[in-house]
Amino acid sequence: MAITVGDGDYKYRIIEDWAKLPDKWSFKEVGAVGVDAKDNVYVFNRGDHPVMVFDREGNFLRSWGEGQFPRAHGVHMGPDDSIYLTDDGGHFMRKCSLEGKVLLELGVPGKPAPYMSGEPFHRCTHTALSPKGEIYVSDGYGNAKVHKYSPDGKLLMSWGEPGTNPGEFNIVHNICTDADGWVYVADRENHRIQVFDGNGKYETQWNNLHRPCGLYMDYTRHPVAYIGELGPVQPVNRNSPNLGPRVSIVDNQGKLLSRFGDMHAGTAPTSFLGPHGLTVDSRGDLYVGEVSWTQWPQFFPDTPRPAYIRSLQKYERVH
Amino acid sequence: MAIIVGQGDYKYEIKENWAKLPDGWSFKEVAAVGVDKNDNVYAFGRGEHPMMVFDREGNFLRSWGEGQYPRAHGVHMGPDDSIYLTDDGGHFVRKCRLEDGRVLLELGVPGTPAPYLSGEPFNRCTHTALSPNGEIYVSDGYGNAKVHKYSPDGKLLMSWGEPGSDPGQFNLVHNICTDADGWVYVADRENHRVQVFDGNGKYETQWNNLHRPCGLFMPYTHSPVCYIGELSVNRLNANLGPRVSIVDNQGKLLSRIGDPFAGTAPTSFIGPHGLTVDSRGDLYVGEVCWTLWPGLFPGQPHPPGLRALQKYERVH
Repeated sequence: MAITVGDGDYKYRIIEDWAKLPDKWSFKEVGAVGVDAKDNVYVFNRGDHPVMVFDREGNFLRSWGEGQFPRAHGVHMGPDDSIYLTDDGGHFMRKCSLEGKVLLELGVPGKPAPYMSGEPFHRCTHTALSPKGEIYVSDGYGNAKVHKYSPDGKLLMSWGEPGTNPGEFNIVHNICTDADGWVYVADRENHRIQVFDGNGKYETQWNNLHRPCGLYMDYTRHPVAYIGELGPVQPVNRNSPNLGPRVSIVDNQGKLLSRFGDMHAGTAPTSFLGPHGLTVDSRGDLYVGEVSWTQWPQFFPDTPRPAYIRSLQKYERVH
Repeated sequence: MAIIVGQGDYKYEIKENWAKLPDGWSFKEVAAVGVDKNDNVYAFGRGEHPMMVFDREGNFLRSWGEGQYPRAHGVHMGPDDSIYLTDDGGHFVRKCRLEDGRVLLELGVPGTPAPYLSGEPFNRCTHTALSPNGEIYVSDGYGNAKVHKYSPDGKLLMSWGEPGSDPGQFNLVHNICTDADGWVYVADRENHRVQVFDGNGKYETQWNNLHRPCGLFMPYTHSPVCYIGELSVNRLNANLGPRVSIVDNQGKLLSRIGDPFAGTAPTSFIGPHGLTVDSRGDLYVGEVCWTLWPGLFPGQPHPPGLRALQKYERVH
């Protein structure tokens, strides 16, 4: 029987075991996902085949990037049949053709800028584009910056510093833009989304979130935001319910529209371990990639990891 | 040379080594502090002498509570020369007489927690405050996600809150304060915010832009400022505490004290867990330095004499 999750206008039917991987292949875990103009799905993962591509039915189409991506983190789909891949382990961002040819590279692979230097990059996390095609890169684990580049990769400006005040960051984990040029930043460990204009001027923030990690927004005006939230992993709150891991959908003022995920982290189809990257296709279907391998020991420190843990699931929108 | 910290109207001169403890005594660490109407200071600690009392010059006056408090957590001073002590390890609140700690009222069953997240009082309760009518609020805490409201004589009237991150939900209810208009302020520590409720638990607003707000003190007036002790998570990331922030009654930052990183310098903090302000505006900050040391300085043994209490004299 189909399992339906979510609330209001954002209800989904869970499609279990959607991705048909080649025999013996594994994602290990999924950093992020994207869909192209044909609703093909690009799964940026931390296994041996960093980019795996599927059609919307989950049939495997191709893979690429083998040996080229140390630690998959973020995906952004360009409007020109391109994909922007951000690798935090490699400290670089690459714009690739959908077949994997590198069209532009920012950062020096394998060479981080000094920790908290503010210089790009130190474990950069995600990428988004301005209405003019300028490139924003969130950076990240070892910096507290958003960098803005010209479309051809010239650094124009950077903003942000460590802290909790407006305009300050505590792990800049994902970034999105909309058609009006607003920039939305998942400020993960500050438990908020910050909204900036295209030049980094602070506009507002959305609260009432728990470790917002993955962020996806349709490139329209006043889009809703799909947010993957990580769960509580401190000894003091690890057993608390209702704090994620979960997916929340909020309107353009940050008001909650729909939320799903069981009360505690887990492996059931209705629960999550680490919803780290999300995307929505032309039909409104949602794909959620999870860093399940990394998150498992944080929730279950005394239980060995199972041989297989789900790291990607499709949620078909119920209209 | 005097060290001055803070900004604007809230600047302080640090009074190092203020507390003159009896020879061989130690706080181990100080969970919370209060001052009485004579500006005597009550340090509720986790050493062998849970309550130590000092005059405003730091001279030791007396101690009490030996063997009675498994794990000191919160202090609230009553208007009737009483002190409300919340013990999270013992799962109880005691209203005590100032002189000798004689117990005037006890809530909870010492040593017997309610089931985890049952919503029943208490599972590691954290702090206490009073309504304008003398009703008692208890924040609860580590093992519940509730605020309980009691009549002045200790009858449970109502409880509110549940686990979560929405308004009215809690992720570690760590401290609670009230003001003369009856507003209730709750340090919702792991949600990184202070929530404001009316006296019946109706959500009013929240203050954000904080980092793990832990200790909360507000003078009992109309629209008081709020003194907030904030915790950090590690020693790698600058400007995320541990620190003390002073905000106005809308949550706007007025002053902030603490170095960019955790440390043992007079100007830095390790775990500012409980604060109070005396009649002159002088600030006392108690720290859970013993508990937080290993997380901040992994592999380094506790140094002897780790500071657990410091006085900050207001500069007028």
